[in-house]
Amino acid sequence: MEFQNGKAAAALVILFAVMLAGLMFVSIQPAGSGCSFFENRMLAEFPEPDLSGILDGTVFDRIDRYLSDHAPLRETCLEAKTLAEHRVLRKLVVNEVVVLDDCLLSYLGYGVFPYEETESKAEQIARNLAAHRDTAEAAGGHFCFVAVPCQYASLADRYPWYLDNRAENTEQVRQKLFEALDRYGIEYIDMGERIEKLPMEEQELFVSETDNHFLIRGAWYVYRAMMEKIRNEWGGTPDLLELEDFDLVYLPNEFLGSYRRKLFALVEDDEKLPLLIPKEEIPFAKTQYETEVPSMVYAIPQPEDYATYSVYMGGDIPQMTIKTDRPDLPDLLIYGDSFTNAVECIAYTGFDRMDSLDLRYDGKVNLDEYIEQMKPDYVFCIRDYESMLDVTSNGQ
Amino acid sequence: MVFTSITFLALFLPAFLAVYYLIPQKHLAWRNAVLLVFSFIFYGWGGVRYLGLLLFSVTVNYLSGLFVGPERGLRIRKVGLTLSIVLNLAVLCVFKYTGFVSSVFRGAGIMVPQVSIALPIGISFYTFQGMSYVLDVYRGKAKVSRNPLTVALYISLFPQLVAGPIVRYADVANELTAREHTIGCFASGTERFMLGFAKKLLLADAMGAIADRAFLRTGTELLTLPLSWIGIVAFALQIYFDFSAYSDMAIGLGRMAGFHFSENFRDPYLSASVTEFWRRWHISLSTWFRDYVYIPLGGNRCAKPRQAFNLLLVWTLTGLWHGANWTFLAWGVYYGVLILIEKFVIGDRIDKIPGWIRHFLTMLLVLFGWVLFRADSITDACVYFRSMFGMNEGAKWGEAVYVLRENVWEIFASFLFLFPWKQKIMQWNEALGEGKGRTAIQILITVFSVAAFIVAYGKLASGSFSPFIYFQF
Repeated sequence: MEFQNGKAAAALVILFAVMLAGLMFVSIQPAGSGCSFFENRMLAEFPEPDLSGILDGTVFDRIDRYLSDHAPLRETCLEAKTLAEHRVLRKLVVNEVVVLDDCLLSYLGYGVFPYEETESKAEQIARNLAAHRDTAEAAGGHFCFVAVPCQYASLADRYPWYLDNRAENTEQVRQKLFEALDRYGIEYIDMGERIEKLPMEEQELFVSETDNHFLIRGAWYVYRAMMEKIRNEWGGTPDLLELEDFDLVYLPNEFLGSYRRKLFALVEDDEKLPLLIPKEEIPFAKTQYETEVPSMVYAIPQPEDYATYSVYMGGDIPQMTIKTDRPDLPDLLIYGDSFTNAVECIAYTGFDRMDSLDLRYDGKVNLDEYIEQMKPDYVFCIRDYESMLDVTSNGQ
Repeated sequence: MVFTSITFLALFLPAFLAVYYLIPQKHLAWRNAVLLVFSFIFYGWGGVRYLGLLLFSVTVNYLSGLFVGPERGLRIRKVGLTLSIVLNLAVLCVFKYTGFVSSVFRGAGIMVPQVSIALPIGISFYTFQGMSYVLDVYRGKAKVSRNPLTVALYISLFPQLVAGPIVRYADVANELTAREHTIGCFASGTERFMLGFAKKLLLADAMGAIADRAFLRTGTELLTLPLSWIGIVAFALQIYFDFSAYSDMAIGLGRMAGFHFSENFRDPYLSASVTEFWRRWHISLSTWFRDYVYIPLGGNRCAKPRQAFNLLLVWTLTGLWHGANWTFLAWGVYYGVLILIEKFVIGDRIDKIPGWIRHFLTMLLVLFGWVLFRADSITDACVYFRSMFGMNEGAKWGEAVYVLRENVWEIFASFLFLFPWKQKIMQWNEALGEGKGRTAIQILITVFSVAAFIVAYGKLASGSFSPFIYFQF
């Protein structure tokens, strides 16, 4: 629209100029922290120029990404957008999180999961597991696969009717995988089946309200199932602790579950991170790639910091060994995704040596070679329902 | 580079305006040089190698212009014109249509190599723009420019280089060499840019997310009847807001540099006939084809069969201009047939149909056209149409409910801004006359524009949000 009022025109021009100047000034400053805490990732770095990248434009694409990741007031805008969508626009799904009154769930989209694909992946996983089982048994040990329901599988009935909770797909995955495991004679524990038999108030303790993992109470059930397997079916004698042998402690820090993290902690929740600490201390030495590290299973944060799932074992570690110097007890190897972390916080108490592997993060360790070298008495692969058909990394 | 990016907003635009306005107004040639350099930077941001093509287009059209001027003999002028058209279209065809043609031959069993050439951004726009210069000079509507920088500036002017509007040389020839820069003009350009910026980020992108979701479901049981209708309505809104927003930003940026580009959209979704729709939609393209293809072929001044042929040819070319795919061809022919029917079958009887029915039917026809336009293939379009008429097997309506529930405000805002506010405001302004009332309206619009711009910036800045459950290095 044509400006009739010169003062109004001048005011707008000045305002626009100031805004652009401000944006430019901030954008050309060197970027501060290269890490986004709430997004849990490294932000883009300014690219090194190269001739081919200049010619085909990829260098400029990377500059665009760098500027986008470091846009002026980016975090403020992200928080404002999150708040606006949650409190003003009252959206159900904010930043890919389903925000309900009593929990935060993962938004799963809407998918079609071909039956044949599920079947072939289950077959491949079972084949891979059979190879590791054979290696473990050749080394004198036992092997077992543990399937753990992830949060969306445990809380499937909390999703509104019009959202896909993947219940059908989850059931299909379980069925196909367990059939394949049976065909290959692989021993397994389905924690989902076990949890369903618990009283409702105990079932609700299994998973977190705001994180995709279970917390220590859920890990406790897995630990118990593993120990029952070892003692009752394999005749093993690990040291078994009961719940009364632990102190259940809740960290006072504000708990930042993975879904609450996506919401910049702007959604209120009073969930606290629980720890199970043995009443009688069990001294141990801890190494990572044979380098000694502080002997702790819980990475306690500073009082002013958030507590996250990474408190358990300090997060995802590619290789870790705990030695309790009790040679009369057997050795344990656990491998898998993050769900192993909480279990390890309890499991080490029953063994002389506990090794932990997470094959997602580097290619340094070959699982079969590791088993042949370490000869653990018991090997447990722990995967959750969402990722247990993933044939990469821990599914190899 | 796109207007709705941090790079453009926080680096390119402030740098350009600062350098441009540091030069005193009396040195317009220097200001033009700055504009030209920044236009090359703008285009080269997509890949410096593509700048070569743009420079080639500039060179061809500048040299052709020298040969088609009225002072030349007719034979030289015709040769110059022919060379210009052939070279311009050859470049466009090689980069845009070679892959399509090779896949057509291969589909017919003729074993030619499958060619895949990256499409330089904006090539359709600047090719037509360059041809417009030569054609206007040839027809005597504009004077030859002996200054290659002027021709270069006209073709590569960054505000409308990659997404239009297609600016006729005759319309801006004077402003290229002599234009005023006033605060009022800059301010109105700023306001227009801000509104376009907000329209793109807040409305177009929101509708695009809905449309993309629906079209991704094509061929699956998830594409239900309600979702398919929601999807195509969302796409209709997306493409309008997206395209008109770019035109708004282009016009606004042009004004910041003293240029006055023509409007490219006039509330097309108010149309009560397909013919009217194309007088309101992408006006610069439809008038380009009318003036440079349809009228030279004879236009309305020939026998009906010839008129019909001309119309179908023009619409086929219009479809192909939009993309190298059977779907675009089908879309163009679709509109050609509809316009033929309106012109030769229904004729004046169209006025006897109640306005609301005409409008409703027109919108329905436009929506069907958008299915062809958006689908990846003719097969996908057919599948999508089947879903729209309830012939898909999908019965889970949950996603449609989710989409409506989650986007209720965005959908409401989109329909609200389909209303012809500009027309209404101009009517109020006329009614109010000079005085405080008009000033109040101006201030309201300006405040709204600034507020919308700030909210849109917030959306842009948060657009790179990409969270992970597990830490990404």
